[in-house]
Amino acid sequence: MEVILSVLQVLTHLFYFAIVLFGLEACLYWLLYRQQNSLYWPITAAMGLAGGLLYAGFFAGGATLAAGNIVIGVAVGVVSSSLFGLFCRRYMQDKHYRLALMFLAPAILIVSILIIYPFFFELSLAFSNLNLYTVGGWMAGKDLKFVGLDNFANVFTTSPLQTVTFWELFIRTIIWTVVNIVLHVGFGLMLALLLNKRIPGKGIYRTLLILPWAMPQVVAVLSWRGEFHPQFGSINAILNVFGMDAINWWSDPTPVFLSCIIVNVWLGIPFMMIVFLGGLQSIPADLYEAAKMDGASKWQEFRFITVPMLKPVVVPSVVLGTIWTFNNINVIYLMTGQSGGNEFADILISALYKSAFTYSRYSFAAAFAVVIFLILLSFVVFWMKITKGADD
Amino acid sequence: MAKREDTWWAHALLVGGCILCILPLLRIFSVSLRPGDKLLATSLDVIPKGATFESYVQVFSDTLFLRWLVNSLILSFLTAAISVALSATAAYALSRYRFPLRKSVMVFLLASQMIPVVVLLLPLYFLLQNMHLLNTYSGLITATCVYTIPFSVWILKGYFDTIPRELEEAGKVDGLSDVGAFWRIVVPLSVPGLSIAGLFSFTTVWNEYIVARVILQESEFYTWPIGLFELQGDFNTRWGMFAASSVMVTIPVLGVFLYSSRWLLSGLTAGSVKG
Repeated sequence: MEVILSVLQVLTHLFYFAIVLFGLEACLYWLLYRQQNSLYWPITAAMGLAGGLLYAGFFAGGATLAAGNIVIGVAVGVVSSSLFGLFCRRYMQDKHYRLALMFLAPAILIVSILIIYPFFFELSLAFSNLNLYTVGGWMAGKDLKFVGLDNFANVFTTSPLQTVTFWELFIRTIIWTVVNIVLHVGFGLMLALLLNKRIPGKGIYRTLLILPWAMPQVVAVLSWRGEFHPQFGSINAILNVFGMDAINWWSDPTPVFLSCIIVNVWLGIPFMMIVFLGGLQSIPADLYEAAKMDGASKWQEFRFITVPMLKPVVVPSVVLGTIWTFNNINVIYLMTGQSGGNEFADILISALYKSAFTYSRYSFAAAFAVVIFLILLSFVVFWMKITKGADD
Repeated sequence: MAKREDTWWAHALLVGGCILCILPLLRIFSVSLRPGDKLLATSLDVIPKGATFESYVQVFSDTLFLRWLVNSLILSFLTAAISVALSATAAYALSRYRFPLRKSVMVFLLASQMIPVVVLLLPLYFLLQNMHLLNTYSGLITATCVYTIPFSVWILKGYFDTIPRELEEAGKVDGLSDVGAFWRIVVPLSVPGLSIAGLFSFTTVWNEYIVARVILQESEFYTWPIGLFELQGDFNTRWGMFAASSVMVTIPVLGVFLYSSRWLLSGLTAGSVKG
């Protein structure tokens, strides 16, 4: 019964959303196609007026709708719609531009509501004092205090969690990313080379080897967590068979981090393997035949044909893999995020999640998020610079 | 053909890799069959002594597992449908029309994939709270669209690029409007591409944990990953139920993945490599 009610609720929301979208497309149609109409400017201004009222009622007001909000909302609406009308008259004479804008509008609207607006909202939070103690008042309509760069200073001087510092997290993130990527690429390349040979039973090997990628990550990580249980898990049981001491995988600093790395390496190899296998299969066989004629050794074939021909596949997947691994919170949170968990394996991104949603330090987390975003951004810009240079 | 004796070590390595890949699955299967009093035994048998399906029955009688599965199913389906519908038109515009800022829009969509969702989760959480969407299906759908839409746009743009323009031009000569050409020619031809994008969004939501954890906080709204995490938290008492539900969730997913892996992989390359 509740399920049906929830689905009905979604459908109602979708209905509202469809009305908004339809309204937007209708406005766009007016702005783009009715430019010769003598009522163009009055109707454009009226659309801005309606939009401004809608905004003031929806976002800014609610119960505490103030006259000031309405005035500001309407003014912004009228001015921006008129400017947009001017823009359409000036630049949207080409039929292609008009069609493209109408096709793009729904997705762009959603993406800007869900990405751009939250991003600026987060920036504003980073300069205020929202935390467990002020959130109640804030929800009731009280304003937050502007604290300048305090939160950013705190990111570097205090612990994002309980004891671990920003720099420890930073170094751990680098170790985590580098070790994972090196092992993913190494093992992935090795398995792809093996699968690229003409050996019987290739299809079965391939199917079994992508299992870690195919099974739900949550199931895989939680099962591994059970296997690492110090008392009942199979890892320690196997170590025991070989006469080694049990390792406390759940609470000793190094084993905790090591177990997370092992699990993530296990999870990530199949993707690289499949991508590299695709790359290997696209290398034309006559290159190898020509090399054989010239008397090249196996190693020379690998070094001078396989490696250069595989480079266009390897480089983007390494970059993508680096970003994914840097952002990979699932493995670490699922391995260590239980109540009574620890912070021995946390990297930047999982510490961000815990500081926001376990410790409720909202403004601190917002500043922390901005710092992490800047780190990622500089990596991407750095990489783009390098590839630009390589192309020249 | 390579000679047999060349390849024994290749087989050895591959078999070793395969064993490592199956091991956790076998273990979880064997734990799920254990009778209640042997749950924490450290034996490494695949089929334990006195195997029963007790844990499978318990999952349904003692937890909300069925409800969690239904939640996941509905959420994944709705998100896939919405994100494909919204991204199809945008992908079409990016594929067919040349307009100012086109490159920037594409770079923005690609770059938005690099922003970790955790970075945007905090403001999204407050946004959804203000709109009273926490603990609702709509809330999670909204939040997951953040990354399913840009991704679907990229995949679909790659697919639309492979459909010859001449087909639409022929349609327009026969009197179709621009929107009609999209709706009556491109959409029916792109059913495979649309299903790949849909399947990707579906599996993303189906396997999603981190975002769902924040937005769905009441147990009747849990999706199965959150439920599984809760079951696993009580390592001692509910280990068998955790294993049983894991097996039940994994088998259909593996089936779908292995069945569709060929298209999935080709879709991946069509969308990303061509760019």
